[in-house]
Amino acid sequence: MSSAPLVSCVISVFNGERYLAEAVDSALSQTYSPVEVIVVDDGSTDRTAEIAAEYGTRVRYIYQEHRGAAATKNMALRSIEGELVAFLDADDLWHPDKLTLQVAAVRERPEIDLCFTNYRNFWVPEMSDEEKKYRGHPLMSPEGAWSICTLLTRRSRFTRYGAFDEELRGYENITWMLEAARAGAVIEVLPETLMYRRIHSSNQSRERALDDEFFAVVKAWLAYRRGMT
Amino acid sequence: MDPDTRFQPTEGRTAARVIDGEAILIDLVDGNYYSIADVGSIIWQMIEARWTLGDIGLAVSERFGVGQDRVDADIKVFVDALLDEQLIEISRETSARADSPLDGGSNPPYAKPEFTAYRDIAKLLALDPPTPGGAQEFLWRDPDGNDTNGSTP
Repeated sequence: MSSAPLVSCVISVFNGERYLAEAVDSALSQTYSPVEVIVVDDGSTDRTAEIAAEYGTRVRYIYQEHRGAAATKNMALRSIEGELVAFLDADDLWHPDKLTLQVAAVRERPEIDLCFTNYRNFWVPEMSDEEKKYRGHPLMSPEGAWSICTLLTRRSRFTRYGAFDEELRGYENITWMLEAARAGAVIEVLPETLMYRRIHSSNQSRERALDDEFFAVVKAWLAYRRGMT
Repeated sequence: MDPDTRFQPTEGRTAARVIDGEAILIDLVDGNYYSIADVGSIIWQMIEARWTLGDIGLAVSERFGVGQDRVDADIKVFVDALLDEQLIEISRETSARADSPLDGGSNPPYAKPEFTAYRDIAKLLALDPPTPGGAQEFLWRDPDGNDTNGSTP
């Protein structure tokens, strides 16, 4: 990476009209350059396409019939051009310096395969009661959690570690990360808070809190941790 | 410890599943994760089913062909450790909810029931708030000591 490498920012969306523009704006406002922003629409039936179109050539829009989040990201990976790739959900936000700091980290240490950052949850105003209720909860205020929306990696890592498992609905991200970790990926978590995760009433992940699949992921995590010791 | 005592996972604090013989526990207050395998997993399932300590000791002793005094002593250590972690509490129920989780297969070698605690995974594995009125509500008090969940310390 002699010159500044292109970063592809993949924003996956399904009926995300409410917050999509904020997510796109945060990607377009990065202090790092060059960045290509791709909105990958998983069959939305709301105004997602219109909102993406309002950005003109600054945003590339890709549409597919509804197939789920893993298939959406995989389709994006087949069409992006960046040497580096980062992901953002359509309801979350990046700090303007996110890519600057992460690209600097992976250029300084080329051995890094997966670069995460710290992040912070924030609640929409109408859910301030829930924010008070869960303020400081260690399971919801992770420091440096492995999150797809803080990840920066090389596109080639999806060749090395494989694509997202399209059979999984909801845990495809953490499963991919664990597979990469088991395969020996070098993982770095930057201490800076560079992503803001919006908690609202329709987070898809709410419905799976503490379900069987979550425990299965935990089991895989613990097995991974045992393998490290 | 009274052999007629029944325990249960701490309400609002302990979430658990047994997957392929391994019990996975999450402390929803402190964010710690636990793994319990082998004999410990069987005992955990009996605790979940509100078996008395005496019945657990007898069943494990017979199943593994180990003297009950030894098994009872091991169970006491195990239960004390679970209590120290606040993962279980005394149950007021007066009968067991389920039959023995022991199957009729061949006996694995007996080993002391133990758990492994993982105290840093909460920093890596995010969990969302549960759906209101749906999944299990989390017991949680914020670090300022405000009781936001209607519970008392």
